[in-house]
Formats: sequence, C-alpha cells, structure tokens
Amino acid sequence: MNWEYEAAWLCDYALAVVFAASACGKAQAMTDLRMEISAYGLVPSRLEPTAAWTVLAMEWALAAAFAAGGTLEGFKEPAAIVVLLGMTGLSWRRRRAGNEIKGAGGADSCGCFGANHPLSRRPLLRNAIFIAVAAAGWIVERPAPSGTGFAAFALAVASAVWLLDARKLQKESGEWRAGDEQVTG
Amino acid sequence: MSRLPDEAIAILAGAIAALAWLSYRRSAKTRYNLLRELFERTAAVAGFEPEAVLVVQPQTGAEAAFAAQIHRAPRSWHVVLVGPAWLAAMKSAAWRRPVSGMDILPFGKGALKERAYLAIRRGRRFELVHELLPYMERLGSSWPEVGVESPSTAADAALDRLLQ
Repeated sequence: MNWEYEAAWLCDYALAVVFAASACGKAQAMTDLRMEISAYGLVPSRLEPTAAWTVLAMEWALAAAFAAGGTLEGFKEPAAIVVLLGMTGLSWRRRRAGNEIKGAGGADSCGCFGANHPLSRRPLLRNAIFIAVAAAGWIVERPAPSGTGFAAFALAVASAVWLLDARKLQKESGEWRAGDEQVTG
Repeated sequence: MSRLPDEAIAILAGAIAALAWLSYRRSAKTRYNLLRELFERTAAVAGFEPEAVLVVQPQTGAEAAFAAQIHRAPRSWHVVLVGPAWLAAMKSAAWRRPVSGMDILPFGKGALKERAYLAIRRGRRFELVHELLPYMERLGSSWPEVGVESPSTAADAALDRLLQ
C-alpha cells in the first residue's frame, strides 16, 4: 500500500472518531447541548431544539462519511473544515465573553464532546489540529475499501469511540484514579 | 513480511471492538450504580424521592452568579454541597432549603465529586446537566421539563420541617 493511502486512511479514521465521539457525547446530553446553544445567544429560544438536532444530525452524517472511507471525496473534507471553523469561532467567542467557566467544560475545555470527555480539553488548539487533518485528507487520494476492509475500518472507529467514552465515564466515577482512593457504592 | 488477509483484519477488529464495548458497558454500569446510590441516599435523607439532585461546590467567585440562583431551585430537587456538614447547614439556612454535605456522595474521587452539575432521573436512566446557569435561568419556562413545579408534597413537608 502506498504511504499516501495510509496517510489518507489515518485522516479519515481520526475525523470519523472525532465526529462520532462528538455526536455520541451530544446525544447523551441533549439538555446540555440545548443550553450551550442558548449560551451562544445566536438562535431564538424557540429554535434551540431544532438547532440542537441539526447539529447532532450533521455530526452523525460527517462521522458516517469519514467512517465509509473513500467515499464523498472532495465534499466531506471541506464540509468538516467549515463545521470545525464554525465550532472554533463559537468557542473563541464564548471564551472572550468570559463565561466559559460556567459551561460544561470549565475554563480550559468545552462541552463539545460532552462534559469530562478526554477530547474536550483545549478546544481551540484541538480544532486547529482537526482542521489540519481534514485539509491533509482533502489533498491525498485513496481507493474505496473492500467490503471486509470497510467492516474492519468501521469497527476500529467504534472501538475508539467506546474507549474514549469509557475513559470519560471512569473519569466521572473516579475509577481512573482508583489507586488514590477506593470508590464506594 | 506478508500482509494479513482482509478477513483476518476484520476478525481482529471485531475482537478489539468487543473488548472496547465491554469496557464501555462496565464503566457505564459503574457510573449508573453510583448515581442510583446517590438518589437512594438523598431520598433517605430528604424523606422524599427527588426529581433531581443538584451537586454544588463551595461557592467561588466564578460560580457566584449560579449560586445566586440556587434558592430558585424547585423543592422537588435535593441540593448536595461538596463540603463539610457544618457548611451545608449554613448554606441550608441561607438558601432556605435542605442541603446535605459531601458525606452523602457515594463517589470517592472523580469529576462527579469535583464539579457542579444537576443529575436528573429520567425513568431508568440519569442525565447530567453541566450548563447550570442557563438551565437555572430557564426554570419556570415551558422547558426544562424538570422543575417547573414542585409536585411533591413530601418535598414541601421537608421544607416546612426545615423552616420550623
């Protein structure tokens, strides 16, 4: 396999995990998502539920497009860049407004993946890296995967999303630092 | 070195995915049990089954705006202050509602003990709300669905006992 293909697969993989993890986190905390949209103050309150479901649908669609490997080439990458730029702008705006500390992520993080998610830290730097990955994936070309290759790729994406979510849950319940103190209950 | 056939890679990916899913399910079950324990403990202390449990950290400057809204929380919620019992008693008087101390929390360490959030019971699952300030500001509007009214007479009775 050409190194260029491998780089392209890695880009697709990273972005599929990012959008699937983000959509999963948001789906588990729809109230938080609606509140975050409300905190941005860009959408009338009666449209907040619609906006929340639209964001969620968009992220699932992008996750599916990247998890499908060499499909929708030349469309999914710019779409991801536009979405990431939009999210970055909103994060930056909220940080400047000085109210991020009240939000789901605290001072140095965001609730984009749900609170306490490992990928929620340093949203501006993180999104810059994701945008660079999407841009790299846009440049390189790859062949469409075979049936079994597609299955393996989708399973690898799901594995990463589950492991990240497990890490988040362990962080919340204190299991991640079980060596410090015994968790009861 | 020869490359693995696609079928072998798919089987390997399937095995890894199964392990990842088991790890996720185990962590989800642990957190669910901890939140269920939290609701059981608060029900025992408050004398009624709360609709939601509001976990707050001892007030800091950054959380002042949110703390000022706590007195508006529905009586069907139970408030837990992550602090000693004497501080909870002080806050109880200030907020004019029952407040439990950190000894009620079933969590050893972790974000559920170190952050402010609202745990809402929705049937057989729990939802956590971290965007507390906008949520509290919405109380009494057509949504959020939880906390528009205080439907629990037991909650009213608990508050009456406190105010006596």
